[in-house]
Amino acid sequence: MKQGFVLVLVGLTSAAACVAGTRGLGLSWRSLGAALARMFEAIGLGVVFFAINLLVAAAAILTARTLGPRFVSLYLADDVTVIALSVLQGLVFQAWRESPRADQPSG
Amino acid sequence: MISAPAPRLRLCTLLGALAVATLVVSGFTPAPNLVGEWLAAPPSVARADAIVVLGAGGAVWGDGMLGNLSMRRALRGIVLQREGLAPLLVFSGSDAEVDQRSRLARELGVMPVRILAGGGSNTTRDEATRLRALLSPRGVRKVLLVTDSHHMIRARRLFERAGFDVFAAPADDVSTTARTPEERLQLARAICGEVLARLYYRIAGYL
Repeated sequence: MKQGFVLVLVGLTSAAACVAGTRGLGLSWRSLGAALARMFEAIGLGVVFFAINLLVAAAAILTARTLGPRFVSLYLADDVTVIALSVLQGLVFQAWRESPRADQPSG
Repeated sequence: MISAPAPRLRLCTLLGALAVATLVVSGFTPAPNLVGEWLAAPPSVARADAIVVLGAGGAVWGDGMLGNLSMRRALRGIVLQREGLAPLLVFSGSDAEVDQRSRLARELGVMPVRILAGGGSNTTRDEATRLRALLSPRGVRKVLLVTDSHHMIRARRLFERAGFDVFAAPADDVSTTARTPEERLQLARAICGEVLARLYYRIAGYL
């Protein structure tokens, strides 16, 4: 019941956004495919950031556990905010990549 | 001057599509339930010398109350002890968690002489080692282990390696109870965490 509701809700708002995009903003269906590809790319970058965050956290925790006087739990890195922040890292990095490059010498 | 568009990262696009597909499958299909059932230990509740309730990450909240996971395990252990499945109820985990659980057990009618505090542990491996030292002199060999269904397989192997005969009393049946997208995603996250933990224990040679 709940999962059906969520799917219908997101489906309806997505359909409304498509109508608003094509009729209101004059966007093309073709560019929607490219936008989806860019979204997957940004999420993929988020996955890469997540893996790096986990590896760095594990290395730091195991080092602290070995060298420090107190026990440090690996569960310190088991927090849902790591996932959310990793996705944000990916989105920002993607936007940065797509921004105009650094000043280039003019002709 | 207009700069060239950023080159496409095909591997990242593939990773992203895979991540979105995993999110949808995990949240909106019974896939996490099926994987969870496959990874969970089935119950094998039987009479033992002691009921051992494992710690749940030292889960005591700021107000001094036990966290949900720790409370669930503690209550399962208390009920099993009240049903007469073992004379001794052993609480493991951090000192604060063990103190709270022992107090809860006393308040729920378990005789203080039947409660044994095995605090000072930080990991499952640590718990198995410390409890062997604590319980062996008391002649405890058969233990009824109480922990989460996904954690049980790793914990059981560690306690068997420590010399105990282990019966399993999972404190949850989360693989079958997760029904909403949010619950299924939580289950998927718990499964990923336990898989990583098993991998780490195997690489470290603990299992």
